[in-house]
Amino acid sequence: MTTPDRDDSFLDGYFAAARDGAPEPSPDLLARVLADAGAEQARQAAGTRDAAHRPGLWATMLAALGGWPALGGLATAGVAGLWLGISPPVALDDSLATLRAMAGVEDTATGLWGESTDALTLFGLDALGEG
Amino acid sequence: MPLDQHSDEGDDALMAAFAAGDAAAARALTLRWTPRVLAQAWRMLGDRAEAEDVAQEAMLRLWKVAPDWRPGEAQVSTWLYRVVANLCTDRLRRRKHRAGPGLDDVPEPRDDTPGAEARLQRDARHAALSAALAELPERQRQAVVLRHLENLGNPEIAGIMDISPRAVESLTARGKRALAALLGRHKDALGYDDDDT
Repeated sequence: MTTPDRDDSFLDGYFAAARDGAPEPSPDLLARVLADAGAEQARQAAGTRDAAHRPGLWATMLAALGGWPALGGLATAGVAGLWLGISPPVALDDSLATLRAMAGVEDTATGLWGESTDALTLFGLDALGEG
Repeated sequence: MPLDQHSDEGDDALMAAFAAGDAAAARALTLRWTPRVLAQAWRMLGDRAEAEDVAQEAMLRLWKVAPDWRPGEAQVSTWLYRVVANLCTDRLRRRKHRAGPGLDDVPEPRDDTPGAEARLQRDARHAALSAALAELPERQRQAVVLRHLENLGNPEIAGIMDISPRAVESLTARGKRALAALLGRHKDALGYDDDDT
């Protein structure tokens, strides 16, 4: 035996209660939102962005390096030096400085996400030194 | 003198101007969207303070996405609907784990002024609805909220939720059945009439 569906027309009263009387923003709320806007514009103008709100940061770095296929070719251009923070290519200098500043990375032994930046292992380039 | 010089510009132009550091665009976007996100959050949460927090956070996310905003790819309205819904969902989930007004709480009227009883009934229903919405599966909740609190049509809801209009209908129907089951007890406990407007 099945129970008949309960009549849900009474929900209309609940929906109406939720729709009724929406508040207008107070001047204080508007001021806070505007202050956030100004602060964010200043941050963006200074070139520093909150890493947590920048999707695809890793992808952006890879793209700057020319993508995965290009990494092999970059090996001879000193990519190991790149990741160890010794001698980045000039074009990436600003991006790297920004990213390091965001992540608070002083020690170049670990990467932006705390992973090992043993670039040789990271990019499978350790095999290049062998044989 | 108008409050902002961008009052007639579309959102794409305003977002681009914002990303370029234009303060007037920041004001225009603030005035245009803060009321809407506040109202949307309030309808879902029923609590002004929480709705203000959500509104401020939603607008902060809008500011942060401005440099990545691509004209024609999305609408600010659609984007904000999703952000506000997600932020409200987080709030509703946190409420479930905290003591607070719930489906079993029946407020005692204390105010005898005219209209007070109606306001109390409205507030009690709103609180009960928010609590019941928190119990729904996320997509049912989103569909019901967009349909019955935001009064959007199925095609628009389909666009926001990235599903078919038929799926919207199905989710809305299931969501309402679940709400009816949850709120039926509340209705009976308070003894409200079904047919008041």
